[in-house]
Amino acid sequence: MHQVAEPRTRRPLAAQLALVSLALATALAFVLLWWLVPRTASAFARFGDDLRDSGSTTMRELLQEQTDQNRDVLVDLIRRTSVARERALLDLPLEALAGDVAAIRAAISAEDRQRSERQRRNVAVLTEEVQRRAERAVAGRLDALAQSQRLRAEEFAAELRTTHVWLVAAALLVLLVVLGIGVHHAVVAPSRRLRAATQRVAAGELSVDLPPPSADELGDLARDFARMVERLREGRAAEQRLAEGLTDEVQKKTAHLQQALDDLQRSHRQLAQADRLASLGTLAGGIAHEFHNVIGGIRGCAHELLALEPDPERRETLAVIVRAAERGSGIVQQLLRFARRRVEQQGDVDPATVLTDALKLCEPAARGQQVRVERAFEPGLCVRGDADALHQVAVNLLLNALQAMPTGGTLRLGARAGPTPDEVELQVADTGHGIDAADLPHLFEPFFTTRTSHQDPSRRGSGLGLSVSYGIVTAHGGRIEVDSQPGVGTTFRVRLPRHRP
Amino acid sequence: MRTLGRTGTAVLLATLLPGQHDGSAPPPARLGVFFWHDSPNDEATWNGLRQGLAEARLAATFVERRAGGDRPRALAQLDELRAADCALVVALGTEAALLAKERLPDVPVVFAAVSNAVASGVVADWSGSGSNLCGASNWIDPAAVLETFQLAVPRLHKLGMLRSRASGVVSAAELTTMRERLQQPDAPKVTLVEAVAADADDLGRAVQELLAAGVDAIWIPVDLTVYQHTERVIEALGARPVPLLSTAATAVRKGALAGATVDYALHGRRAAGLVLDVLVRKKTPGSLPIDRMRGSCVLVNVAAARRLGRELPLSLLLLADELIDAEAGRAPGR
Repeated sequence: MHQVAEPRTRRPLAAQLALVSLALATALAFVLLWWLVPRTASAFARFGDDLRDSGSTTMRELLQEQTDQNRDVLVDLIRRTSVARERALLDLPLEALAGDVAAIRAAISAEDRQRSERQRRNVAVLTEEVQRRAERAVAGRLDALAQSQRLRAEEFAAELRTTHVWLVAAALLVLLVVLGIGVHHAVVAPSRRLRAATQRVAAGELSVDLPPPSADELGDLARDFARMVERLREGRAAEQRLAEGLTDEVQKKTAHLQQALDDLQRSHRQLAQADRLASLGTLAGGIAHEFHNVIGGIRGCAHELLALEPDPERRETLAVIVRAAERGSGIVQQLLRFARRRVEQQGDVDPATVLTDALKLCEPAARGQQVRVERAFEPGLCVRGDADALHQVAVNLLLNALQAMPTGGTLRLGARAGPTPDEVELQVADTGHGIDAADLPHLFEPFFTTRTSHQDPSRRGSGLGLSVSYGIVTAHGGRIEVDSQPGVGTTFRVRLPRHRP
Repeated sequence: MRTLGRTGTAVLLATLLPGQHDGSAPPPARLGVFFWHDSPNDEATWNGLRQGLAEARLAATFVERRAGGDRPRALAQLDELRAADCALVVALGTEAALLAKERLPDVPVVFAAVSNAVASGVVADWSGSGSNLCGASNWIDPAAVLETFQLAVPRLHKLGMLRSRASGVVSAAELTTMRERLQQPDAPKVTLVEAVAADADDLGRAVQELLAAGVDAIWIPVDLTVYQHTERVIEALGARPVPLLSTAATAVRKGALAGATVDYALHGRRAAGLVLDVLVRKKTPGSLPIDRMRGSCVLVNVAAARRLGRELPLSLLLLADELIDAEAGRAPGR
């Protein structure tokens, strides 16, 4: 039975979820800081390097262009100045000076001065214009560079944004998955288990075994549920105990009744059998008594005639009559022994000795049939009776057993205290072919035999062994019982009143 | 060297003339100087002429007369110069040359600052006047003018000339010269239209007339009435980005985009050589060919280009003999 322990501390579900979320968020923040920040910084550094490189390249190109342009301007200016001077000298009316070298030099010098002055002013304007154009060119290139860098910055920002979005999405996904697992573990799974347990309880099954409850609201619910189930279990156990007590009582009563009925039936059968056997004994005894006298007379007469008859052939015939009379006398003796209701000789008899002595007679046959003999004799047993008669009983039973095992088997002999303290039981069991159930009620009847005529005539019995044994045992105040199962074997139990010397 | 005054005389003390270094200095020659009107070109020419005479060490005194564009006054002043017994009269400007030719047939006259002496009727032929006239023309090859104009305005297909009735002689000569050039087989495909303003106040109307004609640029010729009022022309253009081109340096300095003109100082010095030919070398004026300069000057107004939003080719700037920028020295970054 599951014991529901009260939690030491309460942790509300919301607090657990908040704690888990906080832990996950913290872990996520650490991961982002550890992973994202260095990569973002690196990306920014690379982006800055790219911008610097592109700016530097642009500046170098611009500088080169301006240098080339300035060089071209300077060269062109020099060339054009020279051309202009040559043109001016051609237009200068030097011939009017009539070879006055000084005047000519002065004229040329004056022209040069004037031209130089104009050129100086022109250079000033040209310089400003070139600078203005250079500034425009620089501004244009810088604008283009700025535009290019702005586009690259936008691309970089878009790339960074995409990366961050995916990363955050992945992180959120992980967070949601972990939270989902946590919620499933903390809420859904316990709820499902509780629901399943509720359904099982509703279906009448109270052997639900919930896992140890958590220290939260669901745990409280599980504990309350477990207590409820425990109460139901106790109620049902009480009902079951009550029902079981009633059932046991009924069964005991039924068993007692059945036992009594069985005993009664067995007694009835035994009584019936005893009655029948008694009737048979009386009948057989009467007949035997009459035949005993007749046969005795025939045997006496035959003996006298035999003694007087000299003729060999007649003597042979008389001998046959004598032997037949003796055999008939034997049979009659046996019938008388079956029908006799008293023990001829009284003495202390050891059942083990009875069985051992009987076995000695039968051992050669047993060895010949490859029968293994097992003995189980309880010492100190004693019965009061006719040792010879009991010996005959034991021999009869052993012979029957050996005849049931013509091709070998196990012969078990036992002597022990009986089922009641006042009884001694002798047991002879074989592993032979067994006896049909239909034959069992007639087994102790005189002249009843299961060995049919087609069998070996030497092994065919007279049908008086068991009936004689029955008569002896009955005369000793005991009884003889048989259990047999065809193909398995047969057990004879002889129960005699125990004698305590 | 504008130190001589409008009507006074001055004596230029110079050394002896070449070949007269015998220690006895001849008396300075008296030269009459006649201006039809106050023109920067004429003034520059006069300065160059004086510089040339000085370089030749010619001792001379000048009797200077300026008519201010008044014909009766001009005729009277020419009479005064004749009465002053001048050895030679220098006539500066086309109108001055024409008046001198008319009024002083018996006095040697050296004219200068005459754009096209033949077209304007000063002389009949470039080889000489055959009379008492000789002189120097500030004629410029119209091909060079067109080349300069096209450098400044590459898509020049229709050129409008803005001239005045008041100063129409010179500009008419320029118009004739340019038309002759444009009729030549190798001439660029440029159509020339003209608009004539009655006076300075009529310039706005004439400008609109040219704009209506769809001109790509307006040419301001050597027309005093027009180029002296270049600001009005620019004002009349308003926001229309039609550039002004000119053959007058003053117009460029006042705001025209570019121009082709002559170096009037050098032109004056060349005229001084003619004076020397007549006075010193005793050559007959009528036998002297009309002097023409070989070269020309290109002027570019960088500020005007900025105003028009045009970026002139650097080759034009380098070609320019004079770059004009009113904002020079005030440019950003200076």
